[in-house]
Amino acid sequence: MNLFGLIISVLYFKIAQKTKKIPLLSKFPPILTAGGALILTLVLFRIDFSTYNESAEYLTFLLIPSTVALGYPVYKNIELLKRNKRIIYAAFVLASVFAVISTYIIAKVCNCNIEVTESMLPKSVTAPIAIEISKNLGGIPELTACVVVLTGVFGAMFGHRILKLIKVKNDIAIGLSIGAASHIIGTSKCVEINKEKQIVTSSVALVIVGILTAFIAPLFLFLIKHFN
Amino acid sequence: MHSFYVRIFLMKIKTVLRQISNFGFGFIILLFFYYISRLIVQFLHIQLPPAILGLILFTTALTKGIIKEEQIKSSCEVLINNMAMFLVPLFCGLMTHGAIITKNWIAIFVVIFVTTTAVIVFTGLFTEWGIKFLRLSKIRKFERKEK
Repeated sequence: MNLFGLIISVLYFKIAQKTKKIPLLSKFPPILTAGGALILTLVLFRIDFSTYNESAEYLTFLLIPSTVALGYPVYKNIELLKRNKRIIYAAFVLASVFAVISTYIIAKVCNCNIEVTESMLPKSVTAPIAIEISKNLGGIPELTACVVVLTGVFGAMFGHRILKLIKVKNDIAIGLSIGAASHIIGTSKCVEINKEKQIVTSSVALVIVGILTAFIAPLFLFLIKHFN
Repeated sequence: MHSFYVRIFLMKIKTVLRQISNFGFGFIILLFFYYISRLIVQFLHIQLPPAILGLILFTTALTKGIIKEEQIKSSCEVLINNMAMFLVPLFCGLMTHGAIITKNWIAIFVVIFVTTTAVIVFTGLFTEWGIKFLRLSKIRKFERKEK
């Protein structure tokens, strides 16, 4: 059996996790550095992607149980959903609707073709859910993975600064908007700052917004196609 | 003296085995939910990714107490903590779609910057004002009762 792809992916990722001390690389999450290095290696040594993916597929398969596992943080913080019920549910729905519509409009303005637009629609959702949605819509899952990671990095780097600029101070509001816009990578930034309330809201928001987007994105595309 | 170390060694092996079996059991539960929801999706012809239906079913089963927290805790934590690693092969798959990206990369970056900022600003302001408004209305209700 050819285990090359599996071993090299895990190895590169573990190395990328250890490079936090190098000043330039520490700004990016390990997935970006590991992915970039892996693409470079594959291109340099002229290894075919399909031979690499023979065993690396098993790693991708694990995304499915980890999507289901996202139910656990929701269960753990279910108290939060019960407490500020109305406003939080409204914010979840509005955030996912707004994300889908704004992505569609700006992608249309920038003249993207339909395939790219479809892969970008679930971009502010956590990666495993986004990939499932993108497959369902007919997008390119690889592009979705890349866009989702970049969105997360952008949110993690600038999210707190933007919120400070517009004077949002409530921890629930901060956590919710970061979780809804930049999913798990943004949440890791909240973990870095170490504010309990932000972490909790953000980790619940990223799951619920993901589930809602799975319903909203196909519905939105259907409506657009119907009225055109 | 010898038997003491042997006993410690055996105990360590036991705990490791227990952790592995714990993880495996949770993992099987998670996969079970995925396959059940795949069957449901196939059967009812719904336009919903099966993993997401599995996530919804799993969360309801947890809150209703059908599954216990201890059964799935370790596997969930391991999977969520290593989620980024599972993305690496997909990320590499980008190299097979080079043409699309070189054609659209400016648009992709513009979409990411603009919409992420917009969503952060919109959701942040909405929630902040909403919570403030709710608090104010609660205080007003309280004042009315006092009168």
